[in-house]
Amino acid sequence: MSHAAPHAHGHDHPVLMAHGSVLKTGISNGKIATWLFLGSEVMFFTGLIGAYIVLRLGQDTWVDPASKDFPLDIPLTAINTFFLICSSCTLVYALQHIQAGNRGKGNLGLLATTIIGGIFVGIQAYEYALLYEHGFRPDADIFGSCFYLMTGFHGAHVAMGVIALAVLTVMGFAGKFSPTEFAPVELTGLYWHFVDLVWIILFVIVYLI
Amino acid sequence: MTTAPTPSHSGRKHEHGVPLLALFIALLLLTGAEIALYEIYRHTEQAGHSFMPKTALVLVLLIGLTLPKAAIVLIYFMHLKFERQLIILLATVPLLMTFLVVLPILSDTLVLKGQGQAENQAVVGQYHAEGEHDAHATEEPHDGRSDEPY
Repeated sequence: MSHAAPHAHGHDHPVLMAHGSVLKTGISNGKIATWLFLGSEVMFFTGLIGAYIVLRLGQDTWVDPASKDFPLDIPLTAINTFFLICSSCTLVYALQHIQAGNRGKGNLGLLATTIIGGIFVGIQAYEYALLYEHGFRPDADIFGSCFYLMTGFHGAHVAMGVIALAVLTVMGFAGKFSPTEFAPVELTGLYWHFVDLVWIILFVIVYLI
Repeated sequence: MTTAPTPSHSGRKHEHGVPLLALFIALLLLTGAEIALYEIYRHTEQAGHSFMPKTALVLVLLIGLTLPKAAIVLIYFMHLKFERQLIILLATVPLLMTFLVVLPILSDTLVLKGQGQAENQAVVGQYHAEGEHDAHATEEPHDGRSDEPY
């Protein structure tokens, strides 16, 4: 098996060079590193979700999401889910336009994604405050522990993503991105979409069933 | 929001042809369907005649609605459809590995649950047999769950 052809081709390719050095696979080091990181994140969140499922199935009683006693605010979280989905779309929009050379629209997409991500974190903080007021705290019961653990870690990931997106937005307005220089947007986008993906699963598992 | 024209990067198909508006609408519709289904179930359940069994609700929500949403994000937004095989392997292998770890534990919970119930009954019975004070018998269950509403 020879990698000579993709290796040579990869080094010459402007898009791959935009990502930095390239392995023999023809895939940028940055992308492989990002996917390896996301692989570890997959295991992290699957561990949390798996623990939640195991704990839930192992309990004799569990608060029913359909009951009046269910403490979580579904409509508020549904709105938050809507925002996170929108943010993924605005980031795809930003990347597409940066790659197409439409810097203005690309920067606008980055700015929108940052703001929407910030709104998600703000709504989650508001939800936590409401739940605390109603006495639903991490020590309320095992569901409370699981809820704050999973949504807290996810929220921390979103917060980190918002910071990264804010940096990208500043870089974008400073003219750092172009059709051949977009690797940070693409790689941060992978992380952001992954965070969105985790929320899609958490929303159903924790809030709806 | 529509699909933006993208330059042709030969041999690199990612970011190309992602129908953004269609995917956005699909994600919104699927999320709306999830919430609508949950709300209908909640209202009918509270009225005492749920319109579908809980197991069916769980399956429809997870497999029918959440899985397609996750697939859209993974395949189109994270470009797995357009990536090389190595990236697809990097994305899927950790997921499969963790499922392989979690699945055997899931089967364990059924056993543990049965044991937990038996242990609870044994502990309560022991308290009664030893003539302990009623307060001991009404302590919180060992799982730490309180019966008080939030």
